[in-house]
Amino acid sequence: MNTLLYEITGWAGYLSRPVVLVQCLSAAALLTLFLTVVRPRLRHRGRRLALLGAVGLLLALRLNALALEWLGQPHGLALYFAQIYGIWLFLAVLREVLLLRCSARGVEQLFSQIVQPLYVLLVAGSLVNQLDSLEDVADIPLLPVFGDTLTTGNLFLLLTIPYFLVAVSAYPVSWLARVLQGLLHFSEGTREATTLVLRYLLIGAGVLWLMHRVGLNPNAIAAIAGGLSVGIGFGIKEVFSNFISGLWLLFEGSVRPGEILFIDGDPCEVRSLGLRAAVLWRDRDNAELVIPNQDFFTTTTVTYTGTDRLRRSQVEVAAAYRHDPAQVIPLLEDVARLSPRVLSQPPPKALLLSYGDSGINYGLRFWIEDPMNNASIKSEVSVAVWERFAKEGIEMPFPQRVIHQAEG
Amino acid sequence: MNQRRGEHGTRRWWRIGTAVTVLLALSGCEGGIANLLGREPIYIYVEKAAGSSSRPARNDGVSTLTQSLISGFRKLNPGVDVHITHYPADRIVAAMAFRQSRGLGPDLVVSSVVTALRLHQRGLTTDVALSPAKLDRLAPYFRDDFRRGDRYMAVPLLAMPQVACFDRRRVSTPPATLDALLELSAKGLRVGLPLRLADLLWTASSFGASDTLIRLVETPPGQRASLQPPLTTNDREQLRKWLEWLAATSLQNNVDFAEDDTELAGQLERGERDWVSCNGNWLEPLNRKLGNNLGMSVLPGGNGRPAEPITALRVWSFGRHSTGRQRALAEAFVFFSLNKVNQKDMMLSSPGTLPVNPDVLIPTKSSHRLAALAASWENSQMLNFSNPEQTVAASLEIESVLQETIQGELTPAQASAMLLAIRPLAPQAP
Repeated sequence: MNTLLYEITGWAGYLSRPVVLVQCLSAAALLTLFLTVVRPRLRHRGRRLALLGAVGLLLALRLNALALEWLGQPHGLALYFAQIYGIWLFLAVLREVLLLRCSARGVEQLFSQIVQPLYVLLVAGSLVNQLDSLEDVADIPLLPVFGDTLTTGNLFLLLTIPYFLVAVSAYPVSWLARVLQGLLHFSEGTREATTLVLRYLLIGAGVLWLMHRVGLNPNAIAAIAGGLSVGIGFGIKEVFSNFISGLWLLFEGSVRPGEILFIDGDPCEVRSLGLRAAVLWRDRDNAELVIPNQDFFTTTTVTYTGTDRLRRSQVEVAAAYRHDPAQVIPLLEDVARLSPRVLSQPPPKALLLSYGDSGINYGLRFWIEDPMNNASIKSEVSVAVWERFAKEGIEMPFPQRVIHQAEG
Repeated sequence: MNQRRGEHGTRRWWRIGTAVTVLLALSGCEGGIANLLGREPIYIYVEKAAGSSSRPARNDGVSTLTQSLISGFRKLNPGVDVHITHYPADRIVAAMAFRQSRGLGPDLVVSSVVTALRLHQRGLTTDVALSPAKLDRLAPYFRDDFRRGDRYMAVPLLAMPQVACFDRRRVSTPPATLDALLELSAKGLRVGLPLRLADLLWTASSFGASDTLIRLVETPPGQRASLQPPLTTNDREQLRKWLEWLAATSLQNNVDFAEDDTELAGQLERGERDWVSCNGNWLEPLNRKLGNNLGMSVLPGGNGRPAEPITALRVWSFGRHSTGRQRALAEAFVFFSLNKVNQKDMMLSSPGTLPVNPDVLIPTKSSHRLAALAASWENSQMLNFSNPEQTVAASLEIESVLQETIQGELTPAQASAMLLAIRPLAPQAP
């Protein structure tokens, strides 16, 4: 660690050189001028002018480098500042363009999770490369780990690669899963499951590569695995159980993104299946339920999307005793058939369920395509039944009590 | 509200800008920020030994430099920090050009002669004036090649003569002639020879062909027509004989050619070869691996002549953008490295190197390795690279012909014709 600090503090010595100082001071002065004078004046004049101002700063930085070159002075550092700012500006423009074409959430996610961290790494790496040999800096030993020496380069890899594995892997894996879906014609749920499994595989392979790259010897890995085993046994059993449950559910296919499950009497759509928990969306109140994966192992799960997405629904209705069931039953089936969101196959079926106190109870059974729409389709059918009954003069009975007064 | 926030932001940027400017301006004081912290850094680039192998050369006369020289110098100059950066031979010129264009070049460079010349030719390093007192620390024969008027474009640090390295368990008595070498190989000795021209030149010296090869390499293209003195028939004959020997040697079962001495050293280290030619770049790792089983001797001669290998030099060059203080420290460091004590320490702790200070005695009687190095140095020659780019290009051209000869694609006569076509021959006597 001391060697690294020794090298880093040594870089400051370059600033004592006038040729370096001129490049840094001129770039810093231009940047300060832009931030304090130009940008505040353009702030409320629209995005185009703000962009023009930023391009103006880029041009000024380039001109600064050209002027130094013209004077026969070293100017590579001034050019480097312009390049770094140019890349930043390009990314800002790219973001605006993407926002016009793609969803804001996706673009923000892409930039905050990948593009901006990559830019920071680019700036840090290129800055070190200006001052020193990257290979030499990467070879600086920091501290002993499992009998080996952890170098700066390996520490850098340990800190960055896992992050980018998790953040970046989603994009190529998602693309690959879509390609596979196109080739093999599997369902959306299977595609989501494939995406997740591929992502786990990619992250796992990346972690193994990283361990090999940083030179962790097999004994060290065995020691880590042993330690994890004890940790899993005592402390993080639940986490591990949820992780394994999630993988199991994916392969089993009972809880996959896109599936419709009945949770506490409400149909909910599985939005994602994560390492620890599944996220479900409840239509009734637009709530998101986060349910630990292992809960699906210990409780009965009702699903409408196990083999297909059809759901059989039922509307119950009563007609007065004076109406012949032979007239009511076809009428009900006709109402269902005419309802636009009721499937024609399997055909709707009306049944006489029972003789009630006030009238004859019927059940109108029909099939719908999307289980999440059950409540609204039932409402539509019920309204249609009411209208048809009114039109055909069929009375919907309600409880009536006839009181006879005893004589005398 | 927005206006107030904007003003606040502007004030904040003013403060940051002012702070940065003041900091940078302060750093412009002699010694800069580092000086404010009580440190004075100087920067040294070190060229790693040539070789295509991925195995890094850790010697280069520099591991010693980093370990003992720097600590010795810092004892005398407590506030000085010496920062070393390593670059492989094929990247150091580009790396220097990259950083010089930013004003971030080193104060000193340790490199081979050809690299030092290339750096100087491209204006990446500057000359240095040596006072008579300082010149006394350099043997006269090391000075002339680097003199430019009354200044020097580089200052020698260490000499690394080429020698024979062998496994003493397999070779009890090292061969003294090329014939003896081939006889031993016929009896099972596994011999490794380099293909790089500078490393192979010692074999040509036994046939009297080394001068011709050196002339072919050193003469710039524009002067080919007026080559003086012209190559004679005898020169051509000697060259052909050497090529015939080379072709015959390549047919031996136990002789193998390698593209560079890196590979040869690795083969000896791994026990895949018993006898190879080598230089100081590789003696430290070889010594670490083989210990007392590592034998060293002068390279075998032939036809009544001793082998005349090339002695490689490691030299100091001075960067362009040092401050006055950095330059003074750099010069002090270089002359510190040339004093008798440091030269002797480097010779003893860095196997394969010899001092350039004439006042240092080489203990040839107490060390057979130093005796071999000294004997090799006695017969060795140094290339005069007046035009390093042309020299490198011509060497590659010749090495390509040699490669085809060794692989049987060219007969010695064809190879000789091709080599001589590169440079003109003297008109044949009627």
